[in-house]
Amino acid sequence: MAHLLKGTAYFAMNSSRFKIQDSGFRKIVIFLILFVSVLGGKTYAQTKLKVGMPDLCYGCHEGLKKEFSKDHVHVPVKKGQCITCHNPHTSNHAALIKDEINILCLGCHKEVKEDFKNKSVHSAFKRGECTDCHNPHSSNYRYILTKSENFLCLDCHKAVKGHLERPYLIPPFREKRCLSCHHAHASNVRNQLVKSPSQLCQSCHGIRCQVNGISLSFTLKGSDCTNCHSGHSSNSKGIFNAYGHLAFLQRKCGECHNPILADREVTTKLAGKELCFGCHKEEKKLLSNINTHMINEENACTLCHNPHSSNRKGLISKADEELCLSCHQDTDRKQIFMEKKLKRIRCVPVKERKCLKCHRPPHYDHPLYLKPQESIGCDTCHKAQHTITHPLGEKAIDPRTGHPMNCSTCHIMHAAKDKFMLYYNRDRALCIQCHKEY
Amino acid sequence: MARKKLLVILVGILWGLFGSPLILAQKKAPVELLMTLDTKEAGGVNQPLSLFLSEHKQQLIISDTGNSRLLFFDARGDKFKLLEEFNADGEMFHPISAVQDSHGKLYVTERGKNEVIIYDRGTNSKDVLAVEGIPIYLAMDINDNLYVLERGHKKIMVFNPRLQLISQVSVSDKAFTNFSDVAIDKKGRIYALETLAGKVYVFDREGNLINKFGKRGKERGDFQFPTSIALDPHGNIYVVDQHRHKVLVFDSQGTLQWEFGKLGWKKGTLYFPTHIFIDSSNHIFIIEKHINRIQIFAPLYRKAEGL
Repeated sequence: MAHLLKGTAYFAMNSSRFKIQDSGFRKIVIFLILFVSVLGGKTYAQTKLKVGMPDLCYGCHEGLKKEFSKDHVHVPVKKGQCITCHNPHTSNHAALIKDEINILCLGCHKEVKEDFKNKSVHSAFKRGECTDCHNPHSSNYRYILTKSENFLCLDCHKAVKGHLERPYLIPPFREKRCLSCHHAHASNVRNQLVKSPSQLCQSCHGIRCQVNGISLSFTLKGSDCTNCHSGHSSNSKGIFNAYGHLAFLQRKCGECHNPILADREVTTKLAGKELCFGCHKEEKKLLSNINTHMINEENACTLCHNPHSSNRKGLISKADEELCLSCHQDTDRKQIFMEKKLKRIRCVPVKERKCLKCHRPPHYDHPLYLKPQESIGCDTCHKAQHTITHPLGEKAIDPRTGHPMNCSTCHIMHAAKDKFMLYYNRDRALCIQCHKEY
Repeated sequence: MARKKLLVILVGILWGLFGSPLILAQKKAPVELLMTLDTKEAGGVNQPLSLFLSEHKQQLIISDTGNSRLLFFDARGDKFKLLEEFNADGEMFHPISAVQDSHGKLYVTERGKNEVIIYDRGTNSKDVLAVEGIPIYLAMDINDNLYVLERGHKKIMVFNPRLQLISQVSVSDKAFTNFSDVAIDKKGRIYALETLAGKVYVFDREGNLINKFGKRGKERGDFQFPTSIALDPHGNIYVVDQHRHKVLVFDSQGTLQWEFGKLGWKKGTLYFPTHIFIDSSNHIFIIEKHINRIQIFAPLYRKAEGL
């Protein structure tokens, strides 16, 4: 290597006279120069087009010209630069586009690419295609969206759409103005909110919360309003979340808090998990499990649970995706890679990031916080599998580990390399892991 | 077509010149598998969380957490024969970590207990060191100072041999999540690992932060989910990355030296490795908790040193 570097240096210093002592190295350098010049130079002559662009394209694609004249037109279309995105001859991609659609879009929209660096990224933005929401040519909606933004979001977020039926709604949600509060791509606040929840709510109205006539504005200044209130709608006046802690629902603040005083911080009677374990004595036993999923004392319970109310059962504070993947980013990254490679993932909990469907930290004592196999419920969807093929359970011991075989013996749910989310190819490589005689 | 051929030839040349030597260098990580620890005689292990090798007693102590016991193995030579099991007459419950001092006293942490339990097996007595918070992993230096990783308040507590608290180590950064493992070098420096930030912290004897390195990411040398840390006799830092199924080895300044391991169940491969410990003879013990396996590796240069 040193010899090679020395040769390179010599060549660089004496290139004008072309003095290269090492004949083998000289051949490589000449070859590289020739090759680069062949690549860099134009190897075919420009032919003169019969008709200029874009009329040449419209000559055959007659209907497109009218279709591309809507209120909002993509700039290359407006300029008639069809070949900015399309190859007129051949392509490995549908519609003769030059590259994968997202790579193509982000090649120009570099500022959008920066959005991926934010903490909270819309899953459709992270995993979908730009054309899921945007028309690449023209549209009657701003940002050349495929539909009105009022409908575009709710078409995917069907559960949220159902919340429109509730009696108490906040005005932006009632008017389906999703982008009033959320960023479509990404932001540094959870759920891609444009500001922190407190700033967002208080930009329209002040803090009106009271306990026994005492205003909580001092202690709630800057706190997350969604700890108690829904950001969309509710069945109860005050737009409270759907599920509440019993003490909270009964307005018995004194069960957990010290007496509430005006212009004073609201404090708890005990710190951290000890406050919760005062009542939830059974849950305290979970700390004795082999595996305990605990960041620290202060966030022992509130890491996952909201002590007041939530829109999720068990007072789970956030959606699984945000709750788990904010720490386990590497698992999400591996899964995105797997999804791209396998193209099709059928396992619903995996595909939809329903982590708590299979894992339940710290409520189960199994490795990787997995629920027992029977309660994960692979067989609720995959009824036929393995009833007629490979045996599972105590009768089929994995010779590599000595453990009874289960689904995860052959399948790896977040980082599979082969189809059917398998560790190895099922034609042979997978089987010979154990069946070595073959 | 011709251009395609030329491109293939060029790629071949560049690969030959630069690519393959790098790959070969990676493959030649200077470490070999010595053996898989045989626990059959003890009925196998169940989710072992940690291990410790007592240099004074030459005993390997496994925290067989799921079976609520400690297993002792003879560490003289490379055979590692089972000596005995210890469960404090059935009182032990899910031990997390155990260390032994030069007098043979055992220090044990258990799940759900806010204390370090001290067993003096010579006198058959038991004592308790109360720790406010959640004591998890233990470490011990050559002077019998005890280091307790306390997760509740994100700190490492240092006790002298008389069990007096002499210092506490923590990180003041607001973004700091918690320590996940701790190791001590011959000079008494404390090496601690933070999983969620993928950081290794180095503190001096007084608890001052003197170095930190590492991040989570996907580049070479980055961590995905580091869970355990150990130091070899040369001062190299070994970090187990559970989700990469690898061990990353850094020099004392934090520069990546080499890495070993790949996903698998076969001997020598790693399946979600969880814990690492290295003894003074440079045995590298790696626990794969999820498949109840403990593998023992050794660097190739260990032979040359006559160890």
